[in-house]
Amino acid sequence: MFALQNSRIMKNSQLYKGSLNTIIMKLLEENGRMYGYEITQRVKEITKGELNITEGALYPALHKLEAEDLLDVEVEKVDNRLRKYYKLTEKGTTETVNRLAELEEFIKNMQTIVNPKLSY
Amino acid sequence: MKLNRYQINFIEKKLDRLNVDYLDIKSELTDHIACDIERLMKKEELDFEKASYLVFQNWNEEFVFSKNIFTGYMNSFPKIVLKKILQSAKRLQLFSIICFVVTFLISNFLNNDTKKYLLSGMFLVKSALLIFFLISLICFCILKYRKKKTTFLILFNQSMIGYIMLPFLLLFTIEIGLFFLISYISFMSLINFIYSMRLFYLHNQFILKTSY
Repeated sequence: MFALQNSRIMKNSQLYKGSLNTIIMKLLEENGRMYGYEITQRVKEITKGELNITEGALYPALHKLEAEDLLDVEVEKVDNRLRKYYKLTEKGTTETVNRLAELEEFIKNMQTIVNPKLSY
Repeated sequence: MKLNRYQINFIEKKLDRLNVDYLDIKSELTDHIACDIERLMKKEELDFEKASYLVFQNWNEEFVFSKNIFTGYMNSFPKIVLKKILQSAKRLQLFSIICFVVTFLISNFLNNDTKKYLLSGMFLVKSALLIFFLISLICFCILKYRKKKTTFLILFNQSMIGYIMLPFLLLFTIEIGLFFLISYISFMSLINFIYSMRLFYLHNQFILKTSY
């Protein structure tokens, strides 16, 4: 029970929400193809539990990227059930590069504003 | 520990009862919930009943019935289903607004002689719209017969409402004063037809991908 309650702790900030699509695309770029649950667990693992993508945010983001033709879907039968894998399309791969560059620029600018001494 | 067929069946039945019975969403939620249950059973050493109860509780908020202006206040869907439908429905509404503005500008820009000339070819537009309607109707019957539900099907069924103005176009005499209205209905019918055919394709493509 404790583990479940603990997993509900999440960063609910607008800053994270705005970067959710880029986070998903970056993970797919690194891992090739992933399914929904795997994405949430991977993010939790990388951020050591600091960032928890809720299901209510993850699936709308995945469906939006799919509708924009940035993601492609593969369905496979795994362990008695169907598993929907997402992977980047050609358009999605190009878009990932652009979005990551945009995010890096954003972080750099924020760094300059928030902590000028550390900025480069 | 992996869940067996009966336990997966339990999750699917529960999702059906919660009205999340649209194959495209149900299949990935079943997998997500099953993964979460397996993790809890392993980590917390819980039995299936307790673990599934806790996981479904975690999802409760996403299963609450919600409504939205874009899908019509007559229809309500579980929140997670509504979120997916809205992405597509909003796009159609945007096209509808663009179409309204463009038609309005064109009808103000054209002089009466050009409008008369265009309206003289109205029988071609009427024939095209009738063909669009018949094709959509055939697709509608095919989908009804197959009885497979996806979120694309909800949107396809809603797109059929777009043909409500068709009898008006076919039966009444078209006058020059109605040029804007006629053009708008005709353009929207064309957009609606393309949209519904895309939904028909996406629905069938998903069914094909999941046909094991």
